[in-house]
Amino acid sequence: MGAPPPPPGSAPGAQRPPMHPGQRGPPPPPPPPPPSGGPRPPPGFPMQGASPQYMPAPQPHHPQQFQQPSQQQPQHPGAQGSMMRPPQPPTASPQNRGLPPMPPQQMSQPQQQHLPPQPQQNPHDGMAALSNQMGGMSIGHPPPQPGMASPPPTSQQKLRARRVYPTANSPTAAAPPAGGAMPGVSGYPPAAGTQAPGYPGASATGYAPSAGPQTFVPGAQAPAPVSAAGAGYARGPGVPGSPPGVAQQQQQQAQPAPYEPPRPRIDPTQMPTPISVHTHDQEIHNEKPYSTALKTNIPMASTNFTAIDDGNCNPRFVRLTMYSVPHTAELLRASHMPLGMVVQPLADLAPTEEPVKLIDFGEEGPIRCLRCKTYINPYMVFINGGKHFVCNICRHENTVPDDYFCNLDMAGRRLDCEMRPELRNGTVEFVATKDFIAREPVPASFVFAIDVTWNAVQNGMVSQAAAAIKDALYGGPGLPPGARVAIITYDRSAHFYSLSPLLDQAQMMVVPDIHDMFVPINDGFDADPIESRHVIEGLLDALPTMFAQNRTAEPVLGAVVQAAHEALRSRGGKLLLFQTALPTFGPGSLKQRDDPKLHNTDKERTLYEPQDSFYHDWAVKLVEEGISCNLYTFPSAYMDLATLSQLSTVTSGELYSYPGFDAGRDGKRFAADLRADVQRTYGTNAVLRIRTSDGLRVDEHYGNLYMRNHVDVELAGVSSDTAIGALLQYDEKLDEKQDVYFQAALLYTTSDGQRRIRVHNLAVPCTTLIGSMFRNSEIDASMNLIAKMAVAEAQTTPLKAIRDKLSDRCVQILTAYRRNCASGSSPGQLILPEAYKLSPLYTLSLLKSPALRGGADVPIDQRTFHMYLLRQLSVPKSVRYFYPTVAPLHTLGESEGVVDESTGIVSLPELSRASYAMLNPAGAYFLSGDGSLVFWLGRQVPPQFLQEALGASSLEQVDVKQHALPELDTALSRKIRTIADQLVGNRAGFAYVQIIRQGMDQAEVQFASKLIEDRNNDNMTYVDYVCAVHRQIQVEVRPKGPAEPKWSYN
Amino acid sequence: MDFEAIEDQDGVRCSWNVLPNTRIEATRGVVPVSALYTPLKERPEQPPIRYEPVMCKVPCRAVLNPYCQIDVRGKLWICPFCLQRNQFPPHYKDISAHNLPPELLPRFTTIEYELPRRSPVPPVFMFVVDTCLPEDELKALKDSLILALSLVPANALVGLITFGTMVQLHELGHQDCPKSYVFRGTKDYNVKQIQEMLGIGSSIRNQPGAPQAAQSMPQQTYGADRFVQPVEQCEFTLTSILEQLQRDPWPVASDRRPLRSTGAAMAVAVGMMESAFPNAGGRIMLFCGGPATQGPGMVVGPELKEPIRSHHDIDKESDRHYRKAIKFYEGLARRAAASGHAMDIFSGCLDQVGLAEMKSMVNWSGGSMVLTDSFVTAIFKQSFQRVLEKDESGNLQMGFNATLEVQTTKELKVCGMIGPGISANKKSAMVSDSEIGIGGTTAWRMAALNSRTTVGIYFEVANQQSQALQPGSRGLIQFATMYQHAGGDYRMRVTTIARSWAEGASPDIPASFDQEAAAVLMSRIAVYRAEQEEVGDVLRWLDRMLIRLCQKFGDYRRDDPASFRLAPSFSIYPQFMYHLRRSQFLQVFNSSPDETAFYRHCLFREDTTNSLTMIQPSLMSYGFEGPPAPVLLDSVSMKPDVILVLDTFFHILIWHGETIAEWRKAGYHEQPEYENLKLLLEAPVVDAQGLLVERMPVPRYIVCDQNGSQARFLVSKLNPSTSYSSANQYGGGEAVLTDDVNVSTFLSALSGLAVKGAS
Repeated sequence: MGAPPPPPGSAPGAQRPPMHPGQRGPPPPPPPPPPSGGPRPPPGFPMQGASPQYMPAPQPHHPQQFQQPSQQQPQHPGAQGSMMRPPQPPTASPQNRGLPPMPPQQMSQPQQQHLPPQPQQNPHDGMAALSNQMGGMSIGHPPPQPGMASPPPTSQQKLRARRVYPTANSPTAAAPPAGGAMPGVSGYPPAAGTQAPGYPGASATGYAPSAGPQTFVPGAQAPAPVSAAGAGYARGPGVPGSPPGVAQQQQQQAQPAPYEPPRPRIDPTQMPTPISVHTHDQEIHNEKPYSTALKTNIPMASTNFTAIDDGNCNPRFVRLTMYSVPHTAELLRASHMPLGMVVQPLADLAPTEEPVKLIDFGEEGPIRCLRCKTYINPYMVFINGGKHFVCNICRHENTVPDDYFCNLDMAGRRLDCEMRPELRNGTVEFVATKDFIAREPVPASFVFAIDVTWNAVQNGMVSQAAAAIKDALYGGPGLPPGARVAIITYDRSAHFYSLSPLLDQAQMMVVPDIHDMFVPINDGFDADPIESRHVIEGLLDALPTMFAQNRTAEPVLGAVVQAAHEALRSRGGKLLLFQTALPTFGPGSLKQRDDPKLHNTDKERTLYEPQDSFYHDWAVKLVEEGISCNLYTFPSAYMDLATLSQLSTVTSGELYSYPGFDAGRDGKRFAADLRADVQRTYGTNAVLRIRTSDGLRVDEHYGNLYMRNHVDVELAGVSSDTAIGALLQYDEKLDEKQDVYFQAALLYTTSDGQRRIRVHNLAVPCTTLIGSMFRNSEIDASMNLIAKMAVAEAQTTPLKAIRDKLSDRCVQILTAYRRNCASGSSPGQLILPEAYKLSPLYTLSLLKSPALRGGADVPIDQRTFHMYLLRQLSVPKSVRYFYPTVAPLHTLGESEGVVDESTGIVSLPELSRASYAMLNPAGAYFLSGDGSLVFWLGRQVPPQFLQEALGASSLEQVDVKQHALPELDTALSRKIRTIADQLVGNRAGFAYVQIIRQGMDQAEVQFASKLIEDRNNDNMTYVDYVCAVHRQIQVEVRPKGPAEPKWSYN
Repeated sequence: MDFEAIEDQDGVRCSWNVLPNTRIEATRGVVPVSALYTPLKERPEQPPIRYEPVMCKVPCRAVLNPYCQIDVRGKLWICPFCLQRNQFPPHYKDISAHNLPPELLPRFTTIEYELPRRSPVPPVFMFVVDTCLPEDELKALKDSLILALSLVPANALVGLITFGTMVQLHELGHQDCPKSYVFRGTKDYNVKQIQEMLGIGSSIRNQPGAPQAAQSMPQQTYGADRFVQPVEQCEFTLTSILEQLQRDPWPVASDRRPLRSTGAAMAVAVGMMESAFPNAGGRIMLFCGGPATQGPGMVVGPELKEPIRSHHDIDKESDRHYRKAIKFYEGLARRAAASGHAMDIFSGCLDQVGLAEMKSMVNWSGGSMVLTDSFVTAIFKQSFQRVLEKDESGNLQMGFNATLEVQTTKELKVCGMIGPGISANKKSAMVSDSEIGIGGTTAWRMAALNSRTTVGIYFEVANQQSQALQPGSRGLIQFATMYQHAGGDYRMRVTTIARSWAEGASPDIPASFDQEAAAVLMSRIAVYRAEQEEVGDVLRWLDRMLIRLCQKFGDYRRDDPASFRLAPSFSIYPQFMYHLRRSQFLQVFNSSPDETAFYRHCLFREDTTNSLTMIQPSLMSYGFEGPPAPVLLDSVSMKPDVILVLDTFFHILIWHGETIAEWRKAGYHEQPEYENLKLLLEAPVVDAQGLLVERMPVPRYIVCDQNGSQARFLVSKLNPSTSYSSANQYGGGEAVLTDDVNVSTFLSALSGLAVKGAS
């Protein structure tokens, strides 16, 4: 921190480790000790000269230096280069790196230093880096390039599956994606260089303070520096302690830059990225609709595709983690991959897809297997001339009811097959009969409960909420048909409103007796939003003024929950709570228990546990009545989301959080969230049951749900975004000649009060080959499920253990692949299965997510919130969550940023990778991750661009306080706004934009932390991480040799 | 002695107007030394005087009065009660024998001071309205309430609570939409809870988060200005709330009563009033259309199969709710009365609403009780309006938050009071050990009173033995009533009476017996006891008292019933007792507990004349034979060719004899030649209207014919001189189907017992 960035010049001098600046400095002198490396990692690393690259990468060093992207890079390379060869893990190959760590706080310096060094060093550095990286690359390293089948395992499958990253920088990646990336790389370096200057300065000032202690990497290196070049992360021997803080800080900032230019080989651009993968997949599905009869090769979750339901359900509804199911548990275990699925039963279909067919079987109800109750589906086989049918799930032979009888054709298919959707389509919906109705279904009620305490009034939440509700009800399509509306406000007492359409205006009823809650209205508590429009609108308009003078604090959340329970009893509905503070009064009052001393310790997890059972108990009661609870929080301080969120998690509701809510800044986002929440497809009182072929069963369900027994998932509310993960387990060996069948049946009440059963069927092949498992695995669903599983452990396991487990799993899967499918390849090469090649990146992203990352700087509420998110995210959303979208705006072409009239899809420019080094200082980008949108303006962005996009003549004149893009009448402005809307989820007109100017705005720190490929968030860069993974794989794969130290990174 | 003239002067009627000078003699008199006092009796010819009364030194505090000895030269006066000397205040320096201030003039034995202090809060009216009513009832009630808003003074504060399944306290100051605070109907909210929940009361005021009291309201309201506002300010809001008032919306199954939370509603009302307006005049007016069926003060369960309690159930203590409810309402009554708030109950229901349980709220606070069949009836509407009647100067005819204090000279001690009020717990040397009614104090609080409110105050003579009497020595009693006038100022009315002492055997004593007052005072004692004891015991006690009185004051030869005579001053007393024994006050057969409670309530608060009417109704006969004349309350008076008008106070009944009824039915009165019949038919109606106008609550008006079903009201009141068991002694009249003895039998039995010697 101390010294802001001395000019570059200083850096060189600083080389000495001791010097803070030295960190960076040191690197240049780089090539220290290659030597030691030899012994260690013989397997992977040594192999190729380039191999060392990895070493460095893994080690924190880089990162530190990197902080300032471009500049550092050069340095590293040099260092690395030297190191590289020796790639021995233990010894610090990365002496260079070691150097950097030393000075804890010299963030600024590094930058400067870097700069200077870069140019000079570049040459070597580059070389070195290259070599290092290369080594890494070749060896095991990084980016398997698709095309590179070099290590060609066995069959074609394998070929397809894995990607080897050539040792050489060889830009030409065998695989298309890789190839694509490569070229880009070359282009970047210069850019990086340029950026560097601006960036460092900024970072120096901004970051220094913020830089938190980063334990792992840096620390390790710090000590190491002098010693051995080769020390990898793993070692982290003495490391952990001291210097970390500094190093990291710097690292974060700089990270990206350093890599690119210097090392051609390990060039991050060669790393597999979602961008290329997604683009590739999109191209495949652009033209032709996907027929689900294929059973495999399904489109990725991120892809815009049109699926034709030919017996298997649309992948939007159910996504398996692998589309070739191993026939035994042993085989599955060998792969270390998760076998499971993510079910999103009410997912929205694309406009081009056929809607789900509704079938009414009359009084008798849908045909089901007598034994296992499986619903009729296309995979049931009719035999005996159509008199019997065999259940695909349990093999039981059932008699066909007389009125359902139909003759079979020559192929044994029923003649009426084409006429009956339940025999043709993977997804159908049945009208539920009385057997499925515990109580008369009625249209759902949406209860809006608004905190109106002083705090809520002051931060503008009340007026925003009133306006947002009004907009959600009347501003567009409105609520789902039939739904009813009720409004509650509360402070130290709860206020109910009679909304009867017979009234001229709403009648307000205050219940001050919050310890013994009740609903004071019988008739008119909820009303049809159309019939009572005048009443509701009048009330919403009046709300802000009604409470403008309200001085009370302490919103009584618990009492409101009790009231809603009573009001919606035996009806079901949706409770939307808008809460601003920790409830400290009335039933369910909570204590302020956040203690910074616990953060980042094993005891931290106690803060994720609810502090008492009140909310859980009531949430269960809500579930029993079919009431789901969506909690919108606007905290200005700790509000114990861990406890409150039970309301949402148990009742399958949603949780929204707007920390430090500011109406001007967050209002639009809130309104958009609310609108989307309220208007999407919605059902109540749902029960989800997943049936699988005999031999398999669901071991555990993940998500926001409640289970009374082991098989029925109770969902108080189910929306188009509800996604449930299910992990499967073997009971016995499967018959590999048969397909494996899945049926997910959702019994629910639609928002207009119809009881329905939606059934999703799926048949996938069974396999005995691990290769085909890898080939047909599905990374998106897998990572989604893995994330859900990881979060589920958070209350019982320290985060660190969870993180280790995640990394281990990643390593194990890749190791399994290497062992089983690519055993012939060179140990120095990192070979990734094609389908799983993004797993290191996604794992890294998960490690960096606020839910799981280390460090004491994540507020507990935010952790809880992100844990909730991971539990709840559907697959398409998790893809976006794992890797932010970075869209360049300065190079928009003619066709980009324009709405395609036929599909309604906006064509986006070719995306950039989420790395600071990849950003062009002369460009402008959108970054969108978790629903927010950042508009990043490079230092050297052309004035013309500013003028057209923002109406500002220079960077200094840009108003960073504006939260919406100005609506200028220029083509560029229009396009940008179109893209913005697309990125935040097609919420036309609701995009909230934060404008950040490179090197000028403090907020750039947060921006940088979202760039997942850089060193930040208490974890390493993508390249380093891949190196680390690679090294571990090597260790795993290597024949048991002499006491090799067991790897543990982190 | 003209008792009524005295009453007109001072509003006082004493049982004895010459007092026996020893305790023993007084006891032998049977009827205690006692007085009926009407504190606010209208005295139009004597306007209040506008200065502070001159009072004796502190422990005594007696007010200067015409019976004080004054020393004009020394500017001294001697308090006749404590005998202390007091200096006149400086501004009395010009006092002289010819220049006396009014309070020293003999005709100002009763004087009203208008004190220069005003109540900080105008009178408060809190309407507590039942919404579990049929549509038409609710409509009528709403109309009456809206009308009432124009009857109360513009500055008076009003508030509204409605109740059904829940209790709603309406906020009147809220501009944006109708707003109310809702309470569970099943819970007994204590004051603290109510203060906390409403954010009112002194304890709440300074807490952070409490709403900021508008500066325009006096401090006493403690934040309650949201709920209670001057009529002129909130009339529009309140009217619209009332107009929009809906029936209780909670569904009622056909085999259940609506859930009615009367108890909780009153608890909220009382809690709010005592928090916000302690010791400020106010009335809580309850309008209820049925019994409380849930929560505290529940009278009967919600299931229709559970019948509402009867006298029988109460006697047997077989009703689950009765005791609890009594206790609950007494608690409320005590709190409200202690903070000076009166409670009125207007019941509009054919069935009982639980007046028997709730009576304490009315009786202890000086409120009114109105028992009607429906809110649609004129009886309700007129009674309600009559409560809010104004005098010529535009002030309501009521006083608020009154304290009545009694001072006596040392020969007398105060036993107690029977009337609408509670003890103010003022212990002094004048308190007697023996209690009659509410005793143990010389002061009582009456949260509301009007010009007819009359209390009975009982004394005992303290002198143990005869002392040489100073000729002309008198016992003095001073009644001082401090109250908040409807106009907003505080007033104090002081009545000082002096009654001569006499030796026990002095003939002056029986001659001074006011048998009417005595009958009323005795009936108050009897009814008061009947509230606590078995009615049978009370009747026997009454008989014993009567016999002893006759023994003491009758003129007879021992063991010769035929020789028994009573002096004129006692002559009609036995008849009063006879009718009292038969009255609805002591005979509960045929009355519901609610009716009994209502009748007794009226007896406790009306003046002598009205009370007598209740005890022994008056009967007027209209016929062709002469001008209308009072006739015996006897079955012989029921003649075919007369029209009778019976006034029982609660009912006014016009009875047409058989012949008259036939004539009327034949339409003779419509023929010009029979105009006399027309006149005869009209005369009683006119007179009855005259009676109706004065009375509160408005009596039930009945017109019936001989042998008509409604005639039972008349028959039941008549002395059954002709019954199925006795021959017609006087001829004429109609047989009364009863087992009761008639007056003559009663009197002969009495004389038989009286002459028997010691009984």
